[in-house]
Amino acid sequence: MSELTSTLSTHNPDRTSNHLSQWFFVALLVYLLICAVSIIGGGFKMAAGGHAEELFAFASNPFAGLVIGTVATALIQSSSTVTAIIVGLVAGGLPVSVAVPMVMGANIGTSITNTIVSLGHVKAKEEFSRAFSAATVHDFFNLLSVLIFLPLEIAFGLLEKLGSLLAQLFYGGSEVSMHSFNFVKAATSPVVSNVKYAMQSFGDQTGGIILIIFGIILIFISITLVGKLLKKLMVGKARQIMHSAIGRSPISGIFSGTLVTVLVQSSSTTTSLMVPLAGTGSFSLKQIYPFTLGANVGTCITAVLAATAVTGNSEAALQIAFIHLTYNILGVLLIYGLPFLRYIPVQCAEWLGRSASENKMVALAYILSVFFIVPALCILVSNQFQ
Amino acid sequence: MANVNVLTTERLKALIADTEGTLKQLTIELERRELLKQENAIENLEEHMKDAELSLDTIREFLAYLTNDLKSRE
Repeated sequence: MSELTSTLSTHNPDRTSNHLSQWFFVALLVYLLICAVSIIGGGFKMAAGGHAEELFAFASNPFAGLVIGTVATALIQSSSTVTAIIVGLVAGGLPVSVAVPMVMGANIGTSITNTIVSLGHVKAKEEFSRAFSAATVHDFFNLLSVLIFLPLEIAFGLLEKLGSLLAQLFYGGSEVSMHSFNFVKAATSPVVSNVKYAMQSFGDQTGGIILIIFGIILIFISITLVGKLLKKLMVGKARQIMHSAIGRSPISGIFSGTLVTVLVQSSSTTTSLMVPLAGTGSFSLKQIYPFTLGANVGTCITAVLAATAVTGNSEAALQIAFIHLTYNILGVLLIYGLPFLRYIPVQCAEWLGRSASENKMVALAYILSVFFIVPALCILVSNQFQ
Repeated sequence: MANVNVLTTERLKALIADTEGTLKQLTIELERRELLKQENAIENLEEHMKDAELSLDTIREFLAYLTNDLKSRE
């Protein structure tokens, strides 16, 4: 009987059409996301009128850029939204060098979500210790990654060069470049051009600002809705991927984390999912750690997707999207690849989890300092030296 | 095992082999139970996804817990 019920339910035409309509809605939202990134780019170009570099002079200090990325992401609770906005701004003329620390900051800011989720376990001491460690291992990894790559970026422009090389592969001098077969751009440009045209009546500056705000709202709505829909549509697939990773190597965990994040389009969802799994004691911190690292890589797909079809300075937009991707891949390769660095985030998270479970004020102080107070101090100090 | 010094070498070797076998079996059983626990946790992924959702209530409840905790210490 149960078999019959399940067979009937899987072949239910209403359910199939509901699924199809949900997938259609996902495609529409992705289309809107790509349009929104181009709209921001266009708006920024209009408003700045070739003075983008001067407008963002305050963020030319890498620490200021890092803080902007961190705080913006911590407040919006979505690194995909912030990186998509950054891609749009770069397409509109924001220098890539200014945007790189912002992208790094987005990585730090996004880890506040799972840290807040872990606070829900506060009533049970041991459970809270495990859950808080599971959440903060992501923070410590991202902080370590910034400590390694930000100085390298400031000194040698390492990520900027790598991103440029990758973007050139698509926009380089070869005859078959992205310009020749970009049908996504062809599909989005009528909407983008019409929206831009409609705003031109408000004048360059006001129209540009309206476009930027409209683009940000559109990105936020589309990413939030896509995340919610994909979470519902992809939970079965995510379960399958996670089942296949159980008992296997950490590399398999990293790949699974990447895949699940690509499917649900949100690293916060993946890393927050690890919190209850670790909190209940089903998974150890060392087991969920690779999965968390994979989430960092998987989240880059949104910005890369948006950058492939952006109008304006599209090569720079693709460059910053690739910088985000290479930064996260290199972070995993370097920190997880080197045995002496590998478990530093785990050890720090375990220590913090224990301390926070003993004294809950530690958890509050940690969140306020890492995501708000230290960034504010960084800006104050760096402004003193400018 | 107080009378270990009176056991013959053969008996000791046999006991060690037996203990090692038991230890191996126990480890395998422990690993099996851990994997099963993980499989079950993933089976309830929908539930965990709900637990993993961010809500302002989490922050509110945490702050309320913190306040009560501080008051009880005083």
